Amino acid sequence: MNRKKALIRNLALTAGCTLLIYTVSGFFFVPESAFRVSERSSHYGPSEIVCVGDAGSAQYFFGSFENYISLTEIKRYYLPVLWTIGNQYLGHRRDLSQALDPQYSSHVLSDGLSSAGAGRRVIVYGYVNDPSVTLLELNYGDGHVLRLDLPDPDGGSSAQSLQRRVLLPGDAAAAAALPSDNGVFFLFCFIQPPDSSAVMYYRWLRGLSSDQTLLYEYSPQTGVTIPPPDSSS
Amino acid sequence: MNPTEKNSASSSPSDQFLSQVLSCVRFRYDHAVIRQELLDHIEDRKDNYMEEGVKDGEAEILAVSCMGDARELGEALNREHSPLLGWIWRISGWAASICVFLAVVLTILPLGHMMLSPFINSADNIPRDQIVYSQKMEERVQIDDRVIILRKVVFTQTDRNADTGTLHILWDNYEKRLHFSGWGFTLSDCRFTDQSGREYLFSGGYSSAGPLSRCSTELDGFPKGAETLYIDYDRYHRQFHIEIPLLPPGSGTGPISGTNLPGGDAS
Repeated sequence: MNRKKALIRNLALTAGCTLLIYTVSGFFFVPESAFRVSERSSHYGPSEIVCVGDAGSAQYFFGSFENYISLTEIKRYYLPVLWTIGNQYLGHRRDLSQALDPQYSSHVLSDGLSSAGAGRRVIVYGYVNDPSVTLLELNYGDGHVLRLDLPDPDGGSSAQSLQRRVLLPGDAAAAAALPSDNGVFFLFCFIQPPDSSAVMYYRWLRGLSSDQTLLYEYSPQTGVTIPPPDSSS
Repeated sequence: MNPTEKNSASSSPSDQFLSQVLSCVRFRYDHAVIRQELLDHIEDRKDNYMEEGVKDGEAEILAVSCMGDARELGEALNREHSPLLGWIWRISGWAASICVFLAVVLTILPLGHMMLSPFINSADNIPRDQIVYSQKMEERVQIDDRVIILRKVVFTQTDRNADTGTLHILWDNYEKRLHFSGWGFTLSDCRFTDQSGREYLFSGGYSSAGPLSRCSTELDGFPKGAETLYIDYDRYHRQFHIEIPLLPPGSGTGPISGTNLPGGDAS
């Protein structure tokens, strides 16, 4: 066979097989494509992407769909250019009556050795619905407290500026906030070591005013503790 | 005298000719192919001369001389076997081989599994002696890209004198989008009711893996005499409604109807 014909044949085979692999295999070159397929195959959305967190081995898509928020993990698949669908937490209904409306999820960080892995990546995210809250504090055990100043809900940073700024590879802990049409989206991320059995997810999340007054406190174990649950205000 | 000249001086006319030709071809990965091809030509001509009675040594010299000027031939072959095209050709060959291998492993084998899965996986493993009645159907609904096909309902009882038993719904589902990724689907998010409006809870089931998933869904405590089963799905603006007239022993027959309500196909 003429060399030029063989070259054309090789290129056609390469293109055809690449297209076939991409179409059928479940790998994606673009993380957002994986996110969209993940949502659609779950019969959910399409969500507006609130922000994207990049943790190196995975990207986390925080989506808003009507009154629901979601978190979808898109993992790298060996080759840096290929992505595949990871864990997914869909359909948390936003509770606009709550000043703090947190959700949380965790993923075991695989070390290839044990079920406990290399610890857990815990992600706490949600909305602050009360504009008088200007500071969030998250205690994730052993005296570690993450603090997050909230931006003005009517201005400040944009979704684009938040994207890829959070959950950087190697970060032990990170936090970010983003004003949205209805409240301020917040995000905490931290790594719990494998032997950290004392704290499940985190101890508490607090909302403080600009003069450092404690307005709200939420615990994943007990729910809202401040203000007291029977408080009508 | 350099090593090449020394080598040429001690080798046959064919070797000298081939060495001169190949010295003009820069893409050395083609040298073996070119050498073999030219050698075949020389051997053919040499055989012809020997058949005409020319002696071995003279036949080889005549055959080589018929090949023309070595340098001219070498330069022509160099143009034909340019290093740029040669490397592109070689790399494209490697790339094509890798892609074909990956395509076979990652797509052809799963496709084969999909073709075989209806024969390998069977959701219909219901004990025959417990079957009170069964009826086949072919009812399709679609949400997003997923097609759900209800194949059969089977009512079973361990105690034939009881008023209730288990209703098994056998169904398949697949995604129209040809992509082996995403999430599976169960009927656990559906609402199951009968003609009286009584609701039945999803009590178990089975789903096979693969692009074509064969599934069964079980509803315990289902009345033996129920006349109709309604299956309703309504989540995140996706809805479907299926109505299955049941055929308990002694009853008549009726049509089965299934509809995608507005928004059922959210594509």
